[in-house]
Amino acid sequence: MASGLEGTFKDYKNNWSCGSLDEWREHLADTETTHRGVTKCVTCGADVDFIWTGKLKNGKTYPDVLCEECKNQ
Amino acid sequence: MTNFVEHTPTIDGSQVKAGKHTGLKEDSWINGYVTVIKNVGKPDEQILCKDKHNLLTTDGRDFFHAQVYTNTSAGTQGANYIALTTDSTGADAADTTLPSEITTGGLERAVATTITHVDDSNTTTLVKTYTASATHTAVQMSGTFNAASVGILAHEAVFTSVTLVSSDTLQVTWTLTLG
Repeated sequence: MASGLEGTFKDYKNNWSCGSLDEWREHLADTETTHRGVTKCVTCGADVDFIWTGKLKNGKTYPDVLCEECKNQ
Repeated sequence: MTNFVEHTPTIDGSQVKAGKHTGLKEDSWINGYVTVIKNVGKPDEQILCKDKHNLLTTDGRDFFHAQVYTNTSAGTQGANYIALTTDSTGADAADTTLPSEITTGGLERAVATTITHVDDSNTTTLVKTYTASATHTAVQMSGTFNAASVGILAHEAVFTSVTLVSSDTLQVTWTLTLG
């Protein structure tokens, strides 16, 4: 766990911080991070509780997630 | 920003300099950035604001302290309801309500449909996509609340005024940092 990070956006796990959302998005695209929360399935719109780990390449600060049903189709 | 330096004489006449440079800007620990897009993915997509810094209200700051530090019972609903208004007076830290908040026509206050946090980071994202079911003229400010009605107004941000007609969408994304 890092400390002393000065930027507005902080990744304590990877000891990294930055001052802008664009830089944060780049970081999420370059570094594996874990996202957790609730969202809508991008295919059917069902509510999804998710934990997702990976490099976020969609230019957003959160992943696009499929529900189990759509994932299995 | 606080910069405080105290010069204290010692018994031998030299001085000890005790300094406190916190280097903190106002609201540097709780920030919000708003992106608002009309008709995402459609030919007439329009970005109304991108990554615009929000205003943390006075009540919002008190709310976060209560949620995190002073509550003596389990925490309550987070500030993850998103609301819109046509009010043109701008964001104000003293606001406790969103003036002229829209309550009908598809743009009424609603809990964010995407609520996510990046583990081991200080960042959370809230997203809500509204679909207008009536015409709304000059929609131009958003706020976050901790309840479906009334509640505490935590953040406010102004964006480029936009008119929506029925079936237009408005995607509001709040990216929030705390800590």
